Amino acid sequence: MEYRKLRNQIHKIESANAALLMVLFRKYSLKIVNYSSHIRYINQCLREDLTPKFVRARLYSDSPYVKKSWNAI
Amino acid sequence: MERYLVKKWLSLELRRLHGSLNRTTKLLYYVHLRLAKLTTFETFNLFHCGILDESAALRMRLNVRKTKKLAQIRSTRVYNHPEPAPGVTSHTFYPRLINKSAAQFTSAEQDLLQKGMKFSLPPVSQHNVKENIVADVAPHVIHRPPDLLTKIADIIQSATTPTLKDITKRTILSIREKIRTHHLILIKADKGSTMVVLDHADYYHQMMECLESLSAEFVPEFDFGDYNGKIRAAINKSKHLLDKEPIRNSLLLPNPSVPRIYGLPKVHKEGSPLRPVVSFVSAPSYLLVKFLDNWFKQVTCFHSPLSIKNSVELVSDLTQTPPPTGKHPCFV
Repeated sequence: MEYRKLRNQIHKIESANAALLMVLFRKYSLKIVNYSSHIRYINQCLREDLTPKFVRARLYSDSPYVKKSWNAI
Repeated sequence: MERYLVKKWLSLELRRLHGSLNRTTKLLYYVHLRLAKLTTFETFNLFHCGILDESAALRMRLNVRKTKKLAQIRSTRVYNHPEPAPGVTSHTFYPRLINKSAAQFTSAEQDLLQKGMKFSLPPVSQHNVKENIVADVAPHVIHRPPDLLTKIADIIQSATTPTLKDITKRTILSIREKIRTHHLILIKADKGSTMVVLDHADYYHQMMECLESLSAEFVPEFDFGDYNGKIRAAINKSKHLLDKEPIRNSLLLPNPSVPRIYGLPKVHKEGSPLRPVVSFVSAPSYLLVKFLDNWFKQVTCFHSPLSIKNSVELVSDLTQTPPPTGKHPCFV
């Protein structure tokens, strides 16, 4: 799926004119800055053992055995 | 428990982001190539300078925002897990080199062996090293301006290339000599990047024990040439499933050999038993099996409910699946 999407995008780039290419160049350049910033943020969270707001991790279980074994991790 | 989940979540998110970053970088590269062809160098340079300014401004804005977020999270952090006692580490790391043989290695030899099997040594001499790099780069550089390759070549030529030092050469030779005289075997451990040095006799003995425990038997009437011939005949005669000759030819393995068995020592278990691994890459039926596996999966629309393709699919499954109301454990 992802590969097909990427292939379509490359095909689009190959047949694009200069104006569209300039728009795409700007878009991808800014996207890279966004991704890099978020990667740095997550790395910092991992290093300092912090939990960002978008992580909502909860354990649902009625079994005491499961709770005990998972708490041991 | 929650710490574990958060770490796992963040690691998966990180992998997803790295994937997106790689994809975007690839697309940007293609756009760059096309744009450089369609516009003049001056126009492209002017446009690129504008984009760089915009990126720098965005980077600064995002940095401020993320720093603020981090400060907020740090202030609300709850320390709900006990700190390990001083001198006690929560993880046990195995040494990079385990010597189970009678041979003794010097510290220089140990340092070299600890670097593992993937360690790449610098070239022995500088003869034609830079020229080869330039020759490899040249076909891929189709950018404008035309003097770009010259600039790249100048940068490569002006860079310093490390060469293999004499002391490292001597260490390699002494390791080679010890392996030869003491009949040693250097293998990777079953888990991790640990290197294990074993006596050849011990390794052979353990492998034989392992094979006996698996009830392996010697079959004297087995003829590999016969077996190979049968596989090739079966592929060549298959006219329905393999209906085209190029497909049949692509499944015939050139220079097949008997699949080799080897053992990886489980250093994390008592007695370091060997884990048998059979490499089927050289088997005559290897390509046929790969083809049939794909064919069966396509025909039957097989999708294992217990397997996932990658981390992206795992994250999307975890976010889309609601927690069950029964007694089955799960985490969301």
